[in-house]
Amino acid sequence: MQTQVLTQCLEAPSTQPLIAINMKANTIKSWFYVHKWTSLICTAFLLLLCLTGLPLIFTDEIHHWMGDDADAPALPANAPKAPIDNVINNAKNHLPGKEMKYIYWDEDKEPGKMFFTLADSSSAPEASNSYLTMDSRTAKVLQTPANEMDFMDIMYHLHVDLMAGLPGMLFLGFMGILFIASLISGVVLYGPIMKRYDFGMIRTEKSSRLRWLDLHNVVGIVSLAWAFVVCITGIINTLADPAVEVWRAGQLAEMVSEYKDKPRVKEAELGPLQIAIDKTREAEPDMEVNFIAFPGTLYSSNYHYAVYVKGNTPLTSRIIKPALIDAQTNELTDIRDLPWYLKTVYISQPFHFGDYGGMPMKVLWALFDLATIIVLISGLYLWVARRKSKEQQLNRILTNLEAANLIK
Amino acid sequence: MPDETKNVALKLWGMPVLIAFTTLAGLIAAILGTGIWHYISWISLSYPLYTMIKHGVKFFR
Repeated sequence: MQTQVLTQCLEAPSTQPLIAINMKANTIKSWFYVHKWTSLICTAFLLLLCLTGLPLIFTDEIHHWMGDDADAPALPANAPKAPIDNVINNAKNHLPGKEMKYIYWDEDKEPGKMFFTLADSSSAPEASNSYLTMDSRTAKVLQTPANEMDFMDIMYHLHVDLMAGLPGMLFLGFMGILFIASLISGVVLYGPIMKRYDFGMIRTEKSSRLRWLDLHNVVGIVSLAWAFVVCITGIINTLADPAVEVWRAGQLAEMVSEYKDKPRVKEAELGPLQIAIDKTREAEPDMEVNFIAFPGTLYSSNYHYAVYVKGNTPLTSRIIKPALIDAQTNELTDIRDLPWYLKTVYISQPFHFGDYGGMPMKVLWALFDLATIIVLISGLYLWVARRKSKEQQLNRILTNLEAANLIK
Repeated sequence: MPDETKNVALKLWGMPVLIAFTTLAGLIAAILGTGIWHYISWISLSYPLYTMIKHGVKFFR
């Protein structure tokens, strides 16, 4: 017994030699099973990813709207920055006993603000993090965001790792691979199904199953390229944490090999950060500093300030590299481009987040996301409807058999 | 390839290829620059969605 899709494909064998147009029935059948099973396995997770991804597109706007971010007091645009070591002192006085982990700033998006991460120890896990938003001009504490899950954090973790850490991330990456297989098999099936019809056809007069099939086809083929890009970049992102580990064990260890046997730098022995930043700017005058990792953290060694610089065009701003500055002597130890696998992760990120083309792009991203939800739900509908019709056909066969027996 | 085959292929795959190309152009444009590049990106990415809505509304008839 064949499904409606297949019976359509099998009708009217053509004599034209083009593979995609003229596939053998068995080939079509195999692709159909690939499409069915890869989709069935990943659909539930893809729906979850699409639904949680929708608010995540607008993370900044939602936080702003919820009143989560403190506004830095208005000062003249040319107000001088406070010395960064003063800002650090104020932060540490505000949270006595905590060690510095990271400092991040973005003058374009969040002028006048610096985002601090502190913890009981710089190598402590994320759960013990304390966050501070500091004013980069007055060196005052602007805000102390709590380290607890809010609505957006729940969305984020459901989307990134199903709240299950690395195994959850890798699992979602595997679901992404299935989705890619489902997209490819979907395109292959699009050929024989649409062969004799016009693009965008939706048959409303015949059966509701055909109507849904046509919707599935047109929305699917139109959002295909977007779905493909977002899925591939999503899969790459699931490997971000292992990639950082490989970098730490490889390139980073190599860069600080001379320090191998030294104990971790104590917080009291840290030199002024300002000098570390100046040294970095000297080495890379054309790049911008925007992120500092303190000794002992995931993004630095045990003995260095890692001062990260990035380019200042939309494309080069994705290409970051760390300058490793000896945290005691303030000498530049090494500065190297990140390895290709970390570059791949960072360059792929904007193509997954849709955050590189202003508000209009975010809205377009959300619409493509909704289109993908339509494809998933119509696909699910088609599967359910097909099962029902199979049952009906089985009943018909059984009835016929009974009738035949009665006649006999 | 016979002409007829070419026409069938064009009729079948013309729009899907055009739309995929437009989408990719829109995705790449915005990373190349701001200003005009962003407008190119927004317009390019709107085209697949416009096509989808144009045909998709027939579903509700």
